[in-house]
Amino acid sequence: MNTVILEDNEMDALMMQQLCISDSEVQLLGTYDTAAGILEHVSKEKIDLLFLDVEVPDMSGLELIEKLPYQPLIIVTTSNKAYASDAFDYDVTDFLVKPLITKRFKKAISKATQGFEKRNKIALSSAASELYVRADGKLIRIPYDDILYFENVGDYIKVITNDKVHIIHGALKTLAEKLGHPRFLKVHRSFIVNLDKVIDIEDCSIQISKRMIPISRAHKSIVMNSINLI
Amino acid sequence: MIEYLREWDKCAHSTLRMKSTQEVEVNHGYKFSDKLNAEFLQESYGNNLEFGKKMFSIFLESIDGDLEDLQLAIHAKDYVHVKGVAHKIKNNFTWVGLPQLSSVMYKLEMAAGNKSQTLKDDFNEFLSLFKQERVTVDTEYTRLSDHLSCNQ
Repeated sequence: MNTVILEDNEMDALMMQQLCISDSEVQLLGTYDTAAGILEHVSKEKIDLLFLDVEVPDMSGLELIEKLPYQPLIIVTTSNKAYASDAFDYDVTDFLVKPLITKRFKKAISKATQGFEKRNKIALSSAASELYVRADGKLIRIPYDDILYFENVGDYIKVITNDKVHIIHGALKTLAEKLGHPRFLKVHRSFIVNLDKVIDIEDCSIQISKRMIPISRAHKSIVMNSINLI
Repeated sequence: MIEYLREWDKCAHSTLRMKSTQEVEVNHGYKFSDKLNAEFLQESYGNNLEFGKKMFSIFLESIDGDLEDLQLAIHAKDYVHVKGVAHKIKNNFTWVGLPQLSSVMYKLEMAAGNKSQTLKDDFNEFLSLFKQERVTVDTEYTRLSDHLSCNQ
């Protein structure tokens, strides 16, 4: 995995470098102490994994996520546990509290490696054009073209199609990973939309059919980067 | 990219490439002082004492300047700078086995954020605690350096 580190503490950065280079899955491309350094790097070279210190001098690490042109796998590192809830809104892979514990750090890399492999697998199977859901003891085929959006309700997900609503058990995050098609985009912690079905986009919402679907702050830049805006 | 990290990157890569049974034996048998957080130091540096030595060395080279910087900023009531320096150095104490001082530095960072009037007293209290521990860190660095040179 092509990896970069954002960390403004010299000793923390050295420890992270040490742990990264001892892992064969990680190819360390650079270490930066400002968010601007990361933005410059990603504009020139694609990265797969970002170690992100939330508190750096020029901007918050979470603001940086919003400015990235695409979202790599992200492992957040911070001394302040209070950032955890916000960080997970950005679908980060892991959240490490400093001081970094070697075993915990390795576990985070292992999680990122799994995520990376999953992404590669999805990229290979992006030709998929349908999914099957379990309902009434049957597997029902739903072409991607029929799906408007997915809505998370408790432990269930509603699959809203042109003319039906299917209810399946599961989590939206897992579903997003399984869908593996760029047309499906998570726009809120409770919604994945089919971009092909969007009628219009306002500041904080997307209209699909007659439904207004909220866009969260954490997902807004990803939405804007996914559309062909002229 | 940060220059010191680039240099260290090259150095660390080359150390890893050369890692051998002999190096494992060199590291074997060293025990960190119980006056420090020995368990954490062992987990962090147990497999690479050279790296541990490097971390202790960076700490000892930078800490006096950082604390002086902090003291001047406190004197000038430059709360933003105090907060920034405290934030930047607080974890360093943990990397030399002094997590309790990282916690005190964190409180100092928060106090600066709140423009606390007790900042000067809090800092003096920190200095008094650190003065006692500084000797332990110095001793550990010397002991670690001696262990590594004896086993080369």
